[in-house]
Amino acid sequence: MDVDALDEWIHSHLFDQVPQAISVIDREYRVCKTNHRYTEIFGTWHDRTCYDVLKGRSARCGGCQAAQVFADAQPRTTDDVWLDKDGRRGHYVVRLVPIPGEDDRVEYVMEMATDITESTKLEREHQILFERTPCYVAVLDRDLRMVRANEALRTTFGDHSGKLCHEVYKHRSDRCPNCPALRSFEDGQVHTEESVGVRQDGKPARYVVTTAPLARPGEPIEYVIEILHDVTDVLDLKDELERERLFLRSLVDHSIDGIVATEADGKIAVLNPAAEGLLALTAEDTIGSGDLARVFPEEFLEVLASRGASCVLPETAIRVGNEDIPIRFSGVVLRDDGRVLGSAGFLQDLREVKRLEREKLDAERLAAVGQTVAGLAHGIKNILTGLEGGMFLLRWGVEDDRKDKFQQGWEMLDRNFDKITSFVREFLSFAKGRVPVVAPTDSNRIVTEVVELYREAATEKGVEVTAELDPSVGEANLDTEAIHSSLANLVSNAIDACLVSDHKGGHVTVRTRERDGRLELEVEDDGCGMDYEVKRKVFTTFFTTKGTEGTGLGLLVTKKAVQEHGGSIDIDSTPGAGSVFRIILPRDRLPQLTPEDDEQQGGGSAV
Amino acid sequence: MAGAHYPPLDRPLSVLLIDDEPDVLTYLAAVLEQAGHRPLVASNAGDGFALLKQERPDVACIDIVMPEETGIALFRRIRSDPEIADTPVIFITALRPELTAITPAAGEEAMPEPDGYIEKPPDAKAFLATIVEVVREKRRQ
Repeated sequence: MDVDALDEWIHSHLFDQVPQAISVIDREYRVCKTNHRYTEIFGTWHDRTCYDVLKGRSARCGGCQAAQVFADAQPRTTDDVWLDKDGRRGHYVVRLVPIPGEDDRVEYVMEMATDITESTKLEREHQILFERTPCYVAVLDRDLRMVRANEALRTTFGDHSGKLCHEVYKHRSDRCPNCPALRSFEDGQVHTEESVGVRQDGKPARYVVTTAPLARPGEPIEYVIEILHDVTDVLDLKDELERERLFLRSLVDHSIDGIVATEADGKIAVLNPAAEGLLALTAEDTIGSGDLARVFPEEFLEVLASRGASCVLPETAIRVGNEDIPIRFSGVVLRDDGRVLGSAGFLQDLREVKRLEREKLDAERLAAVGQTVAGLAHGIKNILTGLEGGMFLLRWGVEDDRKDKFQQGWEMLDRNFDKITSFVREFLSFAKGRVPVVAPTDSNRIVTEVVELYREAATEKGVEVTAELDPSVGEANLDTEAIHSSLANLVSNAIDACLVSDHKGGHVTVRTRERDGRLELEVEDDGCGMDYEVKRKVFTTFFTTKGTEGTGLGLLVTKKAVQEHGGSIDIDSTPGAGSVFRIILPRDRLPQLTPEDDEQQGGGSAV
Repeated sequence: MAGAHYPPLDRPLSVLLIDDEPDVLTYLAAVLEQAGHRPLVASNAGDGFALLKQERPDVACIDIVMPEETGIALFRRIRSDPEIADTPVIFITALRPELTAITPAAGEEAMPEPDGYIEKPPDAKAFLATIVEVVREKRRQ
């Protein structure tokens, strides 16, 4: 094909082949001619106006650009939104070119439309992304001057126009060392840097800065886009979490009690040093294992199996090797809104506590024995007085042949030998003691029995004995017989106190009470009361205020019985107003129902 | 005979014994009687106080531990009654070592100091010696 032929081919085909939609309209705005692309997009056009085809209108558009071209014969470029044959909107850049007629008038206008719908959409999306992204985004020129800034940046740092990047973010006039934007300008690469700046309110801020060149590879770089992410809060939170974690970690590590925790899958996740020691395990071998029987007592395993919530075991045991170690245990299933996160157990080694408790009980028992021995002397002294007196009178009677003195002395000796017999018998029963028989016992029942025992005899003497029972008192491991005789002794003393009192017709009240983990048995009377000399001596010697009536052993026996239950006796007394004797039995010191403890208590009562 | 080692006083002494144990009263009264003194006996603090006011004995020997009113309470009553306040008082007690160890509770008066102690079981000679010594000491003042 020669050049002329080529020319002719181009003229005849170009109109149809260009990718733009081309139409020609006459002065009536009727579409006269179109190319292939136009028909493809807008459909049939014969005998229709341009505004009908492109906009579905019945009248010419206001501000019609074609009308201007018809008027001044100047080509124009505009953009417009047209509807395609299916009614979809499209964005076009349109070049309007005048086609002159014979009389120099513009006879036709040619409209060449380029579809920019897609690129307009992209541009809008970019705009939104740039503006609305929750970081500070700026476009920097080679001087690091901000030429554009997004909404977040403008809102936070105010007017940025013409300011330098480091002025805005760091309040500094010189450039930052290691500036990532400068590096992006130099090497055309993306750079990320952590940086410390100043917030609008003057507080320090921590940023992650990313810079990227705004140019295609190989082109000179005029601008760099810079994105700053304020991570101050995140990092502060991270630091705080780390501190919190360390704090908890150190609490767990230094706890005297063993701490064991599992994850939701039942695998052991925490085993602190105290737990390692107590359970003879190493964290290394145990963490990740699911063998919970090695770290939790059976009761808690049942709670876990039955999807329970928690359990507190004041005293239980855990098997370590072939030894049962006494522990106090508290276990809890960790939940977040019903979802199981795992479980945690706290184990307190009770071996030392148990040992100390045993030693304390032993010491108290020994002290009771010591006081008993010291007190013996007093009982014996009274009898010796009688014996010496008897001998004195007997001797006088013999020496001076005084029959009356002889008779008197003989009777005194006789009486005191009887006293010795009963004293020794009573003392032996005290000293020998008996093996306590401990069983779960209802204290209210004991009190009722004791009150019944004394009520009638007391009433005859004008003393009223009543019981006030606390229904919340639960069963306790008691030696029924020992507690019964202790209470009986206190009640008997209380009745005596009422009888020797000036105001006859007294009252004795026996109470039970459950308070602060202690079982209390109380005997109150409104009898003679005691002054402090008597109060002090009541338990410490064979002490009696009953003349020849008492041996002084009663309260000592009572004290011994109470001490063997790990308890104590409190006295409140006012001379002339009455006394309260209170047996206090801390529940955690009561005897256990094990053969071992029974044996110890039996052994402790020997003198 | 008991009391022979001591220079005799110008006259027999009247001695009030207050104890709730009859054996003690009988014994000590016999000791005094044999030595030629005049024993007066009471088995409780109330009777003893009345007898003291009435007979004005040379010395009163009082048991500490008695029901109702203790010997110490009685002793306080004696010391605060001007008529008989200067009567020498001797405690009869098996509690001497313990008594001296007692410290009064808050709000309570300390135990007053008596003129002498007789420990149980009493020795006849020592008892007479203490009586005589206490009365002599009192007269010297």
